[in-house]
Amino acid sequence: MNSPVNDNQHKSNTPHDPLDPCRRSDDFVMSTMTVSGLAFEVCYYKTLVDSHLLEVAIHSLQERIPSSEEVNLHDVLSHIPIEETKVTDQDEEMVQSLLQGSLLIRPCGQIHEVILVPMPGKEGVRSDNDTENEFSVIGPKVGFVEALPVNLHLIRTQLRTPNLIIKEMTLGSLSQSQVAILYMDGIAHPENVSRMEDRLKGIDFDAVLDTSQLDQLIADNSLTPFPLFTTTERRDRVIYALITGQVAVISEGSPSFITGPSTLFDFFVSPEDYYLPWALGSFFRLIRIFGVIFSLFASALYVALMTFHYEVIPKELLGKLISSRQNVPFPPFVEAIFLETTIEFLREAGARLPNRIGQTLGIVGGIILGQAAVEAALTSNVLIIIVSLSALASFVTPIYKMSNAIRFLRFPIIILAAIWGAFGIAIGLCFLLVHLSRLKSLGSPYMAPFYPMRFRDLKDSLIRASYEQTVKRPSYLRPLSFIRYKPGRIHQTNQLDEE
Amino acid sequence: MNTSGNRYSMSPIHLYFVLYVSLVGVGLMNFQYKMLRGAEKDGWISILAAAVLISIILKMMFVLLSRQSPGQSSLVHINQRYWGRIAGSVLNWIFILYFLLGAFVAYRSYIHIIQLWILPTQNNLLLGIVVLLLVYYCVSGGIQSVTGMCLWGTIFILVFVFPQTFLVTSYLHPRNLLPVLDHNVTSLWLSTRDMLHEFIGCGTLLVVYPYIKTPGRSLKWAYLALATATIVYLVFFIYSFMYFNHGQMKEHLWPTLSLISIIEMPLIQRMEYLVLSFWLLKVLSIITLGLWAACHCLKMERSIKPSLGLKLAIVLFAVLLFVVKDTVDIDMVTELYTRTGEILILLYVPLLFIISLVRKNMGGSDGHEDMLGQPKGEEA
Repeated sequence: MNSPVNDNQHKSNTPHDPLDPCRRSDDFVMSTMTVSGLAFEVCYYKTLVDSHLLEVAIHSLQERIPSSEEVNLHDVLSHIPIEETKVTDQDEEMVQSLLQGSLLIRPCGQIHEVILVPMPGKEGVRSDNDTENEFSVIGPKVGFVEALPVNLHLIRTQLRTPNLIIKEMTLGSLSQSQVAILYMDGIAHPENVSRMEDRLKGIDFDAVLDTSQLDQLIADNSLTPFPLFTTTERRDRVIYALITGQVAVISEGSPSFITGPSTLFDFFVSPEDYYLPWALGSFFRLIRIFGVIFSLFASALYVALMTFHYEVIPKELLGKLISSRQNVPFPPFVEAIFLETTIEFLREAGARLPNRIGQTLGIVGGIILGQAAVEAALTSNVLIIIVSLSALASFVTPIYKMSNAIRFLRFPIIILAAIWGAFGIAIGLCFLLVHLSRLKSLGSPYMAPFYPMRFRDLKDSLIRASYEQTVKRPSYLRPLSFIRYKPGRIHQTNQLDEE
Repeated sequence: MNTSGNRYSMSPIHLYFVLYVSLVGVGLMNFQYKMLRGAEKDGWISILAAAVLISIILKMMFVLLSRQSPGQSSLVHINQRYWGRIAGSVLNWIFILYFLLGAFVAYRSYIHIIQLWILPTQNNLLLGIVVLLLVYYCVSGGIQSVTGMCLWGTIFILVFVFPQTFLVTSYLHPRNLLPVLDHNVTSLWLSTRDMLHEFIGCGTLLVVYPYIKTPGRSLKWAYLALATATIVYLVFFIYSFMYFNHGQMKEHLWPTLSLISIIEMPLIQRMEYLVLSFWLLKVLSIITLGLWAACHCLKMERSIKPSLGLKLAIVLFAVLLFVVKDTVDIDMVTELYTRTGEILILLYVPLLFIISLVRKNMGGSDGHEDMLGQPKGEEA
């Protein structure tokens, strides 16, 4: 920003004008206006400021400034009806502020003291904030948008307490994105907060486009396929994370928060679990976990059993399996990899294509291709069932990043199964478990509350116990106050006792 | 996990998993076979007797360890303090080798079974090395990932393998166990000794102890682990002796596996293929615990970096994989391990216990009454 501009053609150019770097761009407007006999220079990026506010500011400037000989910027300041207007003499700040969408006013010839009127334009932000990817049938459908103030507003309106602390910082040497850290004072452990702050401050990055980038930059271990922070676009999810003592982070221009420290089980939690009766919530959560385990191991188990351990399959079933693949010319491994790759193609294409084409492609890919593959004896019926079921099951996780990790991990496990059968799967499982035991999220163990084992916290991990049981916050977050609420007892009268 | 100071400490419940893993080894697959040379169908008495003896040993360990001053309650320190530098160092080296040997016995016998039972055509070099890689990955994570592995190993057996055994119930012949007590004391003792050999892994407690957050409250977890181990052994014993008669039992080298192999479920039969494969979790926890204990002792004894010690141990294992080739060799190594363990755990630990009592009564320098944790031993 400070690079000296050498072609000093302009009249105001005494040694250097702090605004010179900006002039090179065509969307930078610098015009002179005369009010009550005084000449002002008005500068702004027309691509950054709100045109309505600009009009208001100019208008009030023209109308209200009384004529006088001396220019006192603080007098001028008091006539502009826009908040956070200020006077500065810092060159750095002028340029920064212009780039944040401010209007700069300075008297002609006086380049080192200026008025800055913030009026960031709000164009380009989508107006509907429905959740796009994390759906739920019950519960609010409010999601975040790509504007930081709107997102913070959404959080504030549901946590109306002075204990909700928002700390802002600027990250990205080029993007200069605002990043906000949110936490509940008196609940979140200060170490978690300071750790998050330190890590974010330690980042040197050019352009922060999405919070997920920060997620990777501050992750405890960058060699893991698992997401170490929960990424969410749902408001209720962020609020739940905050009130249990997690720290949330969002960057400007991103519609998703990351919250941490997270545990593996956080990725199987859907806010819906808390809106349904606890028995149902628990059941669905177990289904999700079962789905993920199935998705990880089903195809691999097929490969292992068909390659090495025929004995394991009962003979009634074995007959069917063999007849389904008697015409298939490949070993089970090639067959499985072929189908898994097909599914990955479908998924990747489906994610990139526009909605309508995506549907058509789904039908072509899913039904016609599958049918044709079986008829052409490229694969067996049974494997198609297994592979499509496990693809389906990988999408049951409420957080998309986790389902990506799961789908990725299927491949090494299939390869291991092809080499050593069930023993290979066991090796894969062991690697996974050791890896998970070693992982940390913001310094907290990732496998909590299973490892390290915390009996009390198990109530809200695999299952979701009733609200009477989950009075306390999970201890692996080390919250400063444990009690969330006092469960009220609804007095139930036994009908038989009534006289 | 709460870090006290800079060091990891584990909550008492993890002692349960660590000790369960130490107490139930690869021997669970064939301990019934060994019973045949002793108490035979009366072996359940031997199991119970061995469990009682081990519970006494555990209690002794706890008393011994809790008598040490806070920073010094580990095997290495105790040896050095009670026997002086040189003799203590020799003893420490014996313990280090003993832990290594225990890990190796588990490692080698498991690879052996896998090769015989599931993957007869595979080259054991590759198998062995992959398992060693896993071991390295786990142990290099320090005690956190080792205790984590112990947790998974325990959960695996107790949740996925153990309950399956009950599916055999309808095929049992309870009369196989009758008449009760028709063996003499000598053969009962022979089997009790065999069972004690299964349990001698509990020496790891001496190394793990300083890491327990509240050692005072952890004895109950140790006993619970012992109780669980005993029940697992008892159930497998009773089930296999009720299922196979005496003559059949002689034909089965690994009765537990043979027993599991008859289970049939709607989608799956011959469970032993899967059980044996996934037994890796359990075996891995035994190996990693032993290796970790060895590396940890090495660090305290010679201040050799655990990562270096671990690498050396892994290379040693890979070499030994070839030296120890067949069943005869494995039996020999196992014999060596159990003999050493017998002396170290069943004789040496009580000796230490008595010494610690005597030193206390002589107003000795155990320093546990010194609550500020100032070690007053001659080493300090």
